[in-house]
Amino acid sequence: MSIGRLDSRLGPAFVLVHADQCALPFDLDAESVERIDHQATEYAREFGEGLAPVLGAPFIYKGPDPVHAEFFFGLYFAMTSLHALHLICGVIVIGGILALWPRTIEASRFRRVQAIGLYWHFVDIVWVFLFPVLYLINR
Amino acid sequence: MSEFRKPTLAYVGLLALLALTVGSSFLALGTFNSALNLTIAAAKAAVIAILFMHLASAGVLPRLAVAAAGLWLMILFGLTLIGQ
Repeated sequence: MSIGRLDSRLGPAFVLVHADQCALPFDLDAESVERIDHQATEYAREFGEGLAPVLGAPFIYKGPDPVHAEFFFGLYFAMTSLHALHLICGVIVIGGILALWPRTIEASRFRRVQAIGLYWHFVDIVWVFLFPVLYLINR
Repeated sequence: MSEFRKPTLAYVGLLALLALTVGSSFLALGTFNSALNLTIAAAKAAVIAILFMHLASAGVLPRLAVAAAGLWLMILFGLTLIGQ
């Protein structure tokens, strides 16, 4: 795919922000909220530049091979928004676990943290594959 | 302190693999770039599954279940991408 011109927009700053992809299970909340917040900023910019072929928004791309570029951005929005949905669900469940924490017995605390930890690392593995496919392609 | 040792080592290892994959994307290797990126991603997934998801200390059954699921995922993704 000839999408070399995407590079200047999807710059290396994202690499640093997403370095939190392998977060330890202890500091989930702040980092994941930051990641979702960052993704929202990124979406807003792409909508503003006409690079979001979703929800009926116009797709304007003046670089070479606009058909493939539109295909890439369609996939990009589908994959990252599904991933964001997973993240938001995880944050909600973690919030619920924290809210119920004082009223939870020791054994249940262990079980819940174990379960949400497994879910969180599943989401993590998804991002491990999405990151090179979406951000490092044709650099 | 020893309970933090393994996750910390895994974390540092994942950051090193991240640096490797980002670094390799600056080299012009053609289609080999994608292959390298996916190989490194598979290595990162293995680190996460074995250390963070406790597969190292799990019994035979969970490992078998993960191996079967991984095999199915590879078949499904492989068949999807085969027409490219």
